[in-house]
Amino acid sequence: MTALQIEPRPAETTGSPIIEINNVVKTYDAGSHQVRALKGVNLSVERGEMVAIMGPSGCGKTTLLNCASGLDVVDAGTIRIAGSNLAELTDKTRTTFRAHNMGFVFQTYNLLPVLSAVENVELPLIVSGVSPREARERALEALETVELRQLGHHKPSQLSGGQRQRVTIARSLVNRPEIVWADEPTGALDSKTADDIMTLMETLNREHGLTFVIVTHDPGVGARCNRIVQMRDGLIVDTEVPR
Amino acid sequence: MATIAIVLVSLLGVALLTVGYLGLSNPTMFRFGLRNIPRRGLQSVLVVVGLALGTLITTAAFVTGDTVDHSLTKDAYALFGRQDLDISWNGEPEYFSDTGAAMRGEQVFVDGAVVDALEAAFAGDEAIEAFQPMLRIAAPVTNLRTGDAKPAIQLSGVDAERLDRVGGLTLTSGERASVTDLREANVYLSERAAADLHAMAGDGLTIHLGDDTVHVRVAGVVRDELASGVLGMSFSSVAGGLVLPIETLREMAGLEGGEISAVTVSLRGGVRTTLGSADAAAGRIRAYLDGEGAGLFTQTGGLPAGQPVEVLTMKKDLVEETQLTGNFMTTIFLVLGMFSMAAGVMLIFMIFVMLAAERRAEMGIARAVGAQRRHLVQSFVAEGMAYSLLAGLIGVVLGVAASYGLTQVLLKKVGGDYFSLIEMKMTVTSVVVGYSLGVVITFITVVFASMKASHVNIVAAIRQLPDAHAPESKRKTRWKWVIAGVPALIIPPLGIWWLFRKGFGLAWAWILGPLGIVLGVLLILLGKSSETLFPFALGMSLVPLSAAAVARHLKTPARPLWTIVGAVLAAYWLLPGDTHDQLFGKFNADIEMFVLSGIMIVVSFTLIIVFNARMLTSLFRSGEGVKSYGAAMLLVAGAGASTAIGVALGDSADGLGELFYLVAGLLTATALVAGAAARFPSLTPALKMAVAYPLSNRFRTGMTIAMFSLIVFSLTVFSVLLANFDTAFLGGDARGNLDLVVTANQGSSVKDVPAALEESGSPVVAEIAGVGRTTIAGAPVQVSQGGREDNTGYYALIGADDAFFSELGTTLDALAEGYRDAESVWSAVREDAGFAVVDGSVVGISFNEAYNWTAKGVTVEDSRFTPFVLNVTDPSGNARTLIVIGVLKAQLPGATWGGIYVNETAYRELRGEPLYQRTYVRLDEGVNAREAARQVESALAVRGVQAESVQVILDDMKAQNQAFNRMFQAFMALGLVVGIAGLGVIAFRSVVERRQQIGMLRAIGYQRGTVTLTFLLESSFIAVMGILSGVVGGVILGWSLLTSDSFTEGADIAFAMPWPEILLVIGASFAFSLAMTWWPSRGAARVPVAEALRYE
Repeated sequence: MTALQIEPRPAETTGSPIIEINNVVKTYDAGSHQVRALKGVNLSVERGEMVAIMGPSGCGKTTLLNCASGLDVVDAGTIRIAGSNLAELTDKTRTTFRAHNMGFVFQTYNLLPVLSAVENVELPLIVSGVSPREARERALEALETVELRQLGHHKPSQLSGGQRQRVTIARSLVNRPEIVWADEPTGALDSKTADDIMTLMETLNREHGLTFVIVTHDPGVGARCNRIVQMRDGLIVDTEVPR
Repeated sequence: MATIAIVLVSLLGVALLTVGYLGLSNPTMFRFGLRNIPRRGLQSVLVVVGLALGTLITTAAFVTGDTVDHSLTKDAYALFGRQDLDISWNGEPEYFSDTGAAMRGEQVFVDGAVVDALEAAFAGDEAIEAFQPMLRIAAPVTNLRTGDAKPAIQLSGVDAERLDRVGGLTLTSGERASVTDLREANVYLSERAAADLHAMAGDGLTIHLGDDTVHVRVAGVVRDELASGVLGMSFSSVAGGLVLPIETLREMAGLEGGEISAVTVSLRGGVRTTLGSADAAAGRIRAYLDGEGAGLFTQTGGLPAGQPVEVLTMKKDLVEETQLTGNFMTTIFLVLGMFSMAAGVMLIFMIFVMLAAERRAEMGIARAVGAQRRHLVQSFVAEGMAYSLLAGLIGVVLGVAASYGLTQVLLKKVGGDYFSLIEMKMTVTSVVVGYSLGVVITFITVVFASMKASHVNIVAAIRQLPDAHAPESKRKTRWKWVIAGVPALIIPPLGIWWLFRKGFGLAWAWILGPLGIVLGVLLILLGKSSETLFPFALGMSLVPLSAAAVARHLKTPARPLWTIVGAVLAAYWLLPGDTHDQLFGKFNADIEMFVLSGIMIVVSFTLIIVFNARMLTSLFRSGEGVKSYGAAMLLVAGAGASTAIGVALGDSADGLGELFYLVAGLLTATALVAGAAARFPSLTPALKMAVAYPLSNRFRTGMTIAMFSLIVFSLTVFSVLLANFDTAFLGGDARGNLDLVVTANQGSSVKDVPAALEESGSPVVAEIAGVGRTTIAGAPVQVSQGGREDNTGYYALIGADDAFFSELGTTLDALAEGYRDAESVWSAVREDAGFAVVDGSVVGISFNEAYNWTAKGVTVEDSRFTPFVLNVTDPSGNARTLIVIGVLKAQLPGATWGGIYVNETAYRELRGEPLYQRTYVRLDEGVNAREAARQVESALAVRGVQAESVQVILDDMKAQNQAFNRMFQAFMALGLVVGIAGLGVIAFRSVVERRQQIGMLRAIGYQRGTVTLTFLLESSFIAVMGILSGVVGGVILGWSLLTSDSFTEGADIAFAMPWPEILLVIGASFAFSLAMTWWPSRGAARVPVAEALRYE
């Protein structure tokens, strides 16, 4: 579990926010009417923190994650990641920024079925211009971190759900990001596998100081985070520390 | 055609009634189908375009046939006007040939009194209105105003009163031109002669008749027709005519009085209304000449005894011939269009399968809430029929437009004067047939596709999980279906379905597999016994395909199984023709084999590709330093070796070296891609995905590859065959070492061309290296083949002087066994009156428009044949036996060169003293033949001598062929639209299917350009596989055909690749594919990331 050469960061939070979200508003056009998905959200996440965003369906959790990670743009408000204002970045620089600083884990894994596990993991490095040799080495290290190095040449279809999610976690780590965004990472897994995945994320957070923002419905997942942010109707309504 | 139209309209009616019934019986599912149409506008447009292709192709084929038929028929009616029958004693004129009916042999005159006798005999005939005596003499004419001279204007002497009685001539202005009203020394000039001489009304002309000259004045320019002296259709090269009263012409020509050279017959009715009475009228005249008027032509007319008099239904024959040509064109277009239609059917099938894939979840829900499978079929059929009715209309409009482009632009505008007669025409029947055929084909395909699409696993569909492909199992027997199935076998597909599937519950593989094997074996036996290749080859293909279907059902691994089947099919279909003959015996084959071979070769290549192309991903290596270039370097080495083998082979081994160059090209292209992957590692995942993604859905990728491949294959085979035939038949060696053909009119004073040139002071005489003279084909001799006396016919006999055999060095296409070279053949014919050389038509390697008799059982292989005997009998009864020991170059047009060539002694024995009207000239090395011909004509035109460069004659033929070929190729290229539309449908579908993946790729750092590139590479992979498999299959088949004696009929063709055309096919297909897929690929890059990640 320690193979990944992530620059060591202190396990505890540093006190400096890595994510600063101020008065963010996001409206969707639903054809006949407008849907205000975020109605002025404020949130700050410290470096090395593991935050869960929870709330009922349609409350704006995933929209907040998408906007905060730069996958989507906001209508009003500002989002700063490690000091960079996302609104000031072009699509191209925002994409590069994501490639260098962020990792993503999705409920449906979103692995490319035609590539092997190691090829899936090295993909973010290859597109970032890392040399193929180094990319392969780092991908194998990332797979070792999630204890899947021996299955590196398997195609996603040859892996179980839990193994696939481990591969996506390895992919999210391989570019040595500061933040990993996870949208329902355990949503498609059975409870035992979900528990394993959460243990893995906790370890990465604890040992490598990675910041995790996890959107989830599962109170069990929330309970294992440093902080739970509760949302309802596009607003943050509560924040609690589970332990 | 009318029957076909009725059948198709009935089928269309059935299809519409079916859809109407569906609409009324289940309006909900009907609406469900129709409301899907506007859901994805762009995709719907592509679907309509794809479906319109079938109608486009059929409509274009029929309208082009209409146009050719109409243009030629109109020209035929214009040529004959009111002249319907021909009473001929100078052989059968060939009006449909490129050289027309003029200048064909020595003319024999008869006394015009025969016309009075005929008129008296048929005075009360119900159909015959008039007999027209004609006197035709070719003579040089000079325009005194412009100085232009033509050596052989056809002087047409007509009986003014008789001609005027049936309408006379027509001025170009459309007014009537009466010959009776012509004043002394006035003549009418035909439009063609006026153009040649740059003459107009009022110009003075000099007619040169022997040593005499006569001055006349042009009273007016009349339309080209038989009566105005034009003896061929508007595309022919016949001379123009000059019309004057028959008595005046006789006087000018120094004839003693009464001579005529032809009699035509005008029937009662208009120009276009007499065809129905022609046969009966001709029969009555024949009966009269055989009975009461038996001695008319010999006794009254003075015709030598034994010379046959024929009554020819010339107008009816020519009109029928032109209509046949129109039908032939339609057939050719339909056969060639079958490639596009086959591709179109695949596209329709694929479109509906993909539409079903897109709507899988909602179909699952529909099934979950109680919809039956038939309801889903109904909704798809409703949707499909709406598409196809609209697409049919668009297809008709596009088909007419395509036909216009092909005939009016490619043929008429680009093809030049030869095609000036082409006039656009479409009949209602053609449009109805085109529309109905297109819609009916679409309907049938849609029904089958809908049945396939309606198979959904409800849970998997709703949850968007992959379908589990459990093999079909045996179901219990249902006797009611067995009982119903037995009588239903009268409609085999229905009977088989009911009896075996529904009745006995057998899996399809157990039904179709054994059935295919049995059918295949029966077809093989049928083909073998009838010596017909089509059933034999089809059977040979069905057996492995059917056996594989059974083996697959028995769980044989798919990849090795289908790869082996593909390889077996490819090996069989690409087998060199001669090897096939050796292994399986000789078969007869026709153009339908082109379509079958195309489909089978494409099937074989597609199977090999879809099951093995994934290996290409191993070429894309990165991250291993120099090692990553290993694959590229290996490929380059392979390309180098292939090139080296190609160079080493050169022109030997039947041009096999060219195929090695093609392999080298393919390896080089692959090496470049592998090298790019090594050099730009960020490309590697995209390249791997480009290969792997399409292959993850073999069905639709295979269908698209096959569509492309089929069209590219047809274009490639066509290009290869035409280019090689053009080169072989009309290339440098085609003229057989002859440079000029110089022909003197019958009355010309020029008997010795070099002497006449010398006399005139022409410098060209110094450039002549050799000269030989021949007679020109006159009335035919009767021939029968030695040992096959039942094979008799008529053919031209040509006598030649000694110089023809010894001075010209004419090369030959084939030699009889035992002769070393052409020189030894010519030498034998010169010295021995028992030997002869023939043109290629006699041994079936070329076509003689005038005489189409062919010796049986003579085959030319590797330019050699076994000598054979001809028994020749002149109409006067003289006979002798000739042994054929040589065959002229097949490329030389039969109209000029066709005949049995014998020496002077043999000719004299059979026909009497030869009149040498034709002189062949071999020029010194490097002399410009076209210029030399011009000089000969300028020196001797006024003495009735015409000269043509043989190369120019061949070049003109080549240009005409190329105009036709361009039209055919453009027509076939229409099919590319099918492939491109198919690729577009796949590309759009891929973007929809993989939205989430696109979102993920963008999330982890893929820039928009990289996403576009990834999708473009995927589409490119499919297009490239289709294009290359089509090119490779087409080139190999072309090579195999061209090196087979049974295909080339013994002609020795050195295979050469038409590289520019092949590269154009590859480049254009690929460029259009990229253009089509760029749009959806760009759309993929613009997918909003967050939205894409949410997408389900």
